[in-house]
Amino acid sequence: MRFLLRFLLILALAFLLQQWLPFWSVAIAGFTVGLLLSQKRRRRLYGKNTPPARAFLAGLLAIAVLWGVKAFLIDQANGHQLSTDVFTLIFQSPDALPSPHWVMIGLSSLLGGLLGGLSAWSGNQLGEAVQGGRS
Amino acid sequence: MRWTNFLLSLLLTAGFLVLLLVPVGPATFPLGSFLDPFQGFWQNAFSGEEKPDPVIPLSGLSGKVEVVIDERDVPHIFADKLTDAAYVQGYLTAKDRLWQMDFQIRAAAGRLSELIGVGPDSAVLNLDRTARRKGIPWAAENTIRMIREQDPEVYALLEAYSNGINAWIDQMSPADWPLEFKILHYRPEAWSPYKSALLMKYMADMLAAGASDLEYSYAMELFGRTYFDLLYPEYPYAPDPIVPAGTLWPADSTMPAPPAAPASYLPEGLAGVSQPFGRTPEGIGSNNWAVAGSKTATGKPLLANDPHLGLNLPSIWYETQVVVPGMNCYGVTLPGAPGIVIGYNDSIAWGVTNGSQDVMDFYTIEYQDATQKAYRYADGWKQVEIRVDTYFVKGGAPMLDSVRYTDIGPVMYDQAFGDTDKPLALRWMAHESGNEIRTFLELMRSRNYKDYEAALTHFVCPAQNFVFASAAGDIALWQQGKNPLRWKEQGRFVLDGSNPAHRWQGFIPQPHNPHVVNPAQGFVGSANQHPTGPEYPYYYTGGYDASRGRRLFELLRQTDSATVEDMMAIQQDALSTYARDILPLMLAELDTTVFEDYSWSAYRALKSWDYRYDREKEAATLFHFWWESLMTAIWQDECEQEVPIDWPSWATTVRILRDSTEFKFYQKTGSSVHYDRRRLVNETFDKLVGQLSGDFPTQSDWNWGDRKGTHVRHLARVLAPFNRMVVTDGVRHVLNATDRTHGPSWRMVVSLGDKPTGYGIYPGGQVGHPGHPRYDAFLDKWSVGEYYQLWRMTSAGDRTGTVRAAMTFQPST
Repeated sequence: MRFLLRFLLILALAFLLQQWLPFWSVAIAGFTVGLLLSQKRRRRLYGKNTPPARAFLAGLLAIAVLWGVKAFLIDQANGHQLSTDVFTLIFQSPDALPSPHWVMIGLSSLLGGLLGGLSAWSGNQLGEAVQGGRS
Repeated sequence: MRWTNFLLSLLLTAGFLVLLLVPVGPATFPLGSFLDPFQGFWQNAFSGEEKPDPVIPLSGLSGKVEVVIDERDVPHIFADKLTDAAYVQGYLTAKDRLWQMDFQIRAAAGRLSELIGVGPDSAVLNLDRTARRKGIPWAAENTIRMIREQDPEVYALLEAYSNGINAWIDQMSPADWPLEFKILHYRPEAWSPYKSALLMKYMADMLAAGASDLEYSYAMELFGRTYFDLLYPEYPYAPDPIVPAGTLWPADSTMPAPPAAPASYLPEGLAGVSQPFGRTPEGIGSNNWAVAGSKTATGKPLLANDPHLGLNLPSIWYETQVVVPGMNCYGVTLPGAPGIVIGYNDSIAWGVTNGSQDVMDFYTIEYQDATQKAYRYADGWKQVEIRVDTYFVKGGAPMLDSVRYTDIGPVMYDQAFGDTDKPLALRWMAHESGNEIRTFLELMRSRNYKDYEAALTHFVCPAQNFVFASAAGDIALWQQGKNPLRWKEQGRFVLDGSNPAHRWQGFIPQPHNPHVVNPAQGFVGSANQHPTGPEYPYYYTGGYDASRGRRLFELLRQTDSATVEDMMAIQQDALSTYARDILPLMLAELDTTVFEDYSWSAYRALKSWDYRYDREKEAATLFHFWWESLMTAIWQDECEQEVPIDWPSWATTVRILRDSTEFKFYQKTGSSVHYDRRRLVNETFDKLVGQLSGDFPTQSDWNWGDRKGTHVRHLARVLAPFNRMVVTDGVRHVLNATDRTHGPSWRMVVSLGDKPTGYGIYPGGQVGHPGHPRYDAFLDKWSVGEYYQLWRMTSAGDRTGTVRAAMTFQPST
């Protein structure tokens, strides 16, 4: 449940921020949610720390899903035209793959996801550090 | 420990963020912003179903403007004032073509290295320096100052158009920026009337920058007068000038006497200059014509035009209809300037082909001393002005370049650029301040021949053949531009900057520009051939086509009861007059006794060929390869020198082969065997046959369309995935001049009458965004020679065509 909450909060906050701010705003979303949901409340509820990997995974999945789905929807409406051409532009290989649009969607999803994951992990670690300092 | 963990995680996150924030490796863009589906390239992937807002408030409008976007994305603009129409036109053109507009004027202004860097071997920087040292930005500054001071109406129009572009730019968020800005990673810049003037100079540079001064000077020294005249004749072997041969030019008191030629017209000591000069890219050309009512099915004139330019995406043209009280005009505009360049209204239609004169001359400069502050003129010295150009090169320190401006023009080549000890100054008609946009404005609202004639007088450069037809029944063609008054052969060779007699001696008076009005033959036309026969009282020189004009006039002479379809068929005509003139002789020279299987296959295919460069014909490929190898065999050994030398033209080569079995240049340099025509023809034919294999001629890869391959290239050549490839009929020297990278950039046919009907198509799409489904919407139809019927709406409420969107622009504060 907590994982799902974290995932949803990051996704929603990133979605909101991205209406106005550039791509790095997903790091703000990951970091903020990571920090807010870090171990303080959790320890009260569960009496244990959130493993950093879970914070990372929630951030990764949240942004990967957000960017992946957004790119997928745009790509469907566009009939893969631009994603195919941009694939060729970046990888300089016109006929390398049967479905180059998946590579582009995957690439966006992966890079966004990594940024989301890393920032959520960072936020979580800050929360733990602050908390740890007091206890 | 926990703080260490945090710092580690923070470091990793920040590190990754930096990787996403800056361009990494060969990438020109940062990966993060580019791949972000909310603002990056994904936002440039359109479904094609996007709808514009139905009501758009714009500050600066004086009244309401109604716009209909039709199913082909053509905007039809209805306004009460022309400035309001121009405002909205700027806004809508920017919506579809902003990147192209920005890129074209950056090329003209010599600012591409700001976006791309110096390029391999400084190629991009050299391109920029060429543009600036030609004086393009300087000339545009002078031109826009002249318009601002002398023509408030046109300046107001340019300002309104510019405001419209900027209104579009201002409402964009970075997510909306056109794809190319994101790939090349730079931001859109505000427009200004100066940039429209730059665009006009960009066109002048494309169409009127042909000069062989240096090449001809070397050829003259190398080959001598007799052979020079044979290899580079002023007139081709079968001239068919625009103004019918034999037209008398009445003696006129205003006619200036031709200046006397100086004793010596070749400056000394050119050696060391190896910079090839500005050339009109091959394949630039055009056809246009008008047929009088006496020769048409309707009894009213027909007009046709197809300008042949570089085939680019986004296309050089943008279709637009502009309607204000008293004017309803449809045609194509150049994105970046408000006027309709080729089009029609209720009363008239017009079109353009390139005039093709050489209006670009080079003068040797001798400086007084090493400071280069004065140069020799007559018995004294003249001061030069120094203009310092700054290049803000991407990824490097700004570069400064001091360019010397003489009273002739800028010193284009010297030790700092072109690496020559003999500085060369440039005199170019594009340096003159012309008001070409006024010509287009007045043509848009012309009602008759008189209006058209008056409209043309403002047009300076690049000189164009303006074809005209009116519903009233007049047809006409003026070659319009400002032309220098010259002594015989002035401007063919490099001129001497110190000799007063070498200066341009004035200009040909406007009324004496070549023109023809309602001739007895019942048609007028042009295809970049000579404008006049030798009886024209003024000297001019240039790079004229010797083939398409002949074929055009031949077809127009045969035409009777002409229809729109007949005009389209002429635009698609792919018959080669060169092949028709020379191939029978080439075949007759062949020694058939030594023929093998493939020789016979090739021979039979060529023998039965109808001289048409149609896509499915193997014989066209055979002839083309054979001819090119024959040209190479004749000219390469003599013309590939340390210094640049022009190869003689196709027309000249046809004439020499036709007339001479023996010719000095047939001989292969260094060979002990004697070369005559027969040997050349047989050797090159053997070479051609040697390339055949398999089950020729049934194998399809020898068909002309595939062998030629027509590329419609993205304007930024490096973005190859946005190029498109098509298979087409035609070749450079036939009426359907579709070559590898050049071709008919807008085909239009207009039938005049009470209600004019127009047909047109260009190889591209209105929406210039590579991620849009209609980016190349017209390309397939264009490649097979089909047309759209143009929808010239009668009012904003007209629904006789298909509407994609209707918009209202309203003044706001």
